[in-house]
Amino acid sequence: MDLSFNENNDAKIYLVISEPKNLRKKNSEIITEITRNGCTAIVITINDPYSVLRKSYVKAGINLDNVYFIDAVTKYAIGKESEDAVNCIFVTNPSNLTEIGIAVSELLKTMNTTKVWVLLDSVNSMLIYISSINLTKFIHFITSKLKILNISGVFLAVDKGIEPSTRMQLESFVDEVIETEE
Amino acid sequence: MHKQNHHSNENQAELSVETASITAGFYETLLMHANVWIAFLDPKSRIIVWNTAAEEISGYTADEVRGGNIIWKKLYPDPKYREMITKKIDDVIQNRQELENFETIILTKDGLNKQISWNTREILAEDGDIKGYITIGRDITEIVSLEKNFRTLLMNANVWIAFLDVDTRVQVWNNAAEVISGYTADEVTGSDDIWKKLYPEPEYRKEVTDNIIESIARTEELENFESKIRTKDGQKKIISWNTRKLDSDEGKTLGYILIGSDVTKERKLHAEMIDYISESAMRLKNPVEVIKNNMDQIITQLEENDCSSEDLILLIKIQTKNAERIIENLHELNKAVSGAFDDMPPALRRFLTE
Repeated sequence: MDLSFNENNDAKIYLVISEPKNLRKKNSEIITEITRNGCTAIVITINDPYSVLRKSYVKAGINLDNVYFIDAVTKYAIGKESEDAVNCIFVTNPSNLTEIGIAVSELLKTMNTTKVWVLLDSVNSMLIYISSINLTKFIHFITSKLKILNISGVFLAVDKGIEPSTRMQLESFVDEVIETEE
Repeated sequence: MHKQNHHSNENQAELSVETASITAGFYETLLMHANVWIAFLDPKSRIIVWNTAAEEISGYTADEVRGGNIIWKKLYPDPKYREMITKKIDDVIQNRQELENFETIILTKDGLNKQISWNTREILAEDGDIKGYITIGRDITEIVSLEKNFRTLLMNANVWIAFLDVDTRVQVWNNAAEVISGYTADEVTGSDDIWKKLYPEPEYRKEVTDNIIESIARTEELENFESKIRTKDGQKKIISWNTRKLDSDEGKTLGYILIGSDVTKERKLHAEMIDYISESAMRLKNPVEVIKNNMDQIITQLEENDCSSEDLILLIKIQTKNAERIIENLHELNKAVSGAFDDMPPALRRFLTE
């Protein structure tokens, strides 16, 4: 993955396109790269629950001290939060964009550094819960917020999973599109 | 030679008398049996000649009308109408003009109304005195009736029909044109201002005009050309135009016939269908693929014994929630589709929405 970590700490926003079967692997690779570069990661997870994602990060050797989670699926699926969760905010429903937005803002407020990256996994999972119009509005809201705060971000999406006009809109919000092969 | 010539001249004189007699007879036969109403009137409008066609059209025989002018009262029994016609004819006579294509409605002997187109001119004697008037009448009842029927058809057709002269001024503007555009025929006839109103944005107006002019110059017609108009009440409508240049028999351009169909609803439905297809692909097909991939991953984790049963249950529950949501999405999209199609069979509408 070629994410930019320059010394000037100029924030950059990416749309990373992955094969469907490699989505969880790409997620781990991105978080590995972010944490190895001394940055803090906020993972907005719509696809995997916090408990599973955390274990996969541990397995990948990721230092979880600087990884924060906004889990939008656990509470929705089982009606309660995971026990003993660390650095995680549980959102009631993946379609509750206001709650997700507030959770991002709250987490960003608590951080004293701008060396923060936000990862959204994934754009396609969000489309199960919200319309394409609301998705583009939400992505626009998040990218605007990140740019104002000079914070980098990655939106993970499945290859061929977004129709051309929506993809074109998403591409217009980000600085770079990375098409991953494996 | 001389004798021969003299003899020849004598013969010629005899021949010309004979020829003149034959010619006069020929013309009289021609006049009496022409298929147009021909009458010759003396200066006091008394009938002198009344041909066969005049008898057939009016129903009055030559014997009934010859020598008098009472026929005009019979043909125009309404005094006011007769007075109007008489005044028009008197004006023409006084101004020594010809009466051309003057149309009147007569009442025939058997009580029918017929429309006649008159052409009348005065006949002068050698000394310049008026000898009388030759009147030629054509029965145009059927043509007028056809024209009326055609006009009724044209005016009431459910497509926008307009006829423009060579300077694109509106000459005909039918009822559908009024309904679709909101502008009445009275507001637009005789002027080309309507195009500025229908296309208020100068650049778009130029684009549309250039397209029309170019197509007509190339092929003399324009087929299924779509443009967006702004109606009188500010609505935007999409019109599909078919335009054709109309030439006279002599090849002179008379103007342009415009036929427009309001395709706004069709285009809106088409756009909604495209939205439906793309939205359903993103919110139905691809999410199903997301579930499939997640399930594949769960199977791998199970095979590799890489997950606690608690996590497995959570992962499967998430996929169940995803599937539930996809069913809801399908229901929402079906509702949107059934709402967009007014003419959907009720049974299908119920099936999609229940």
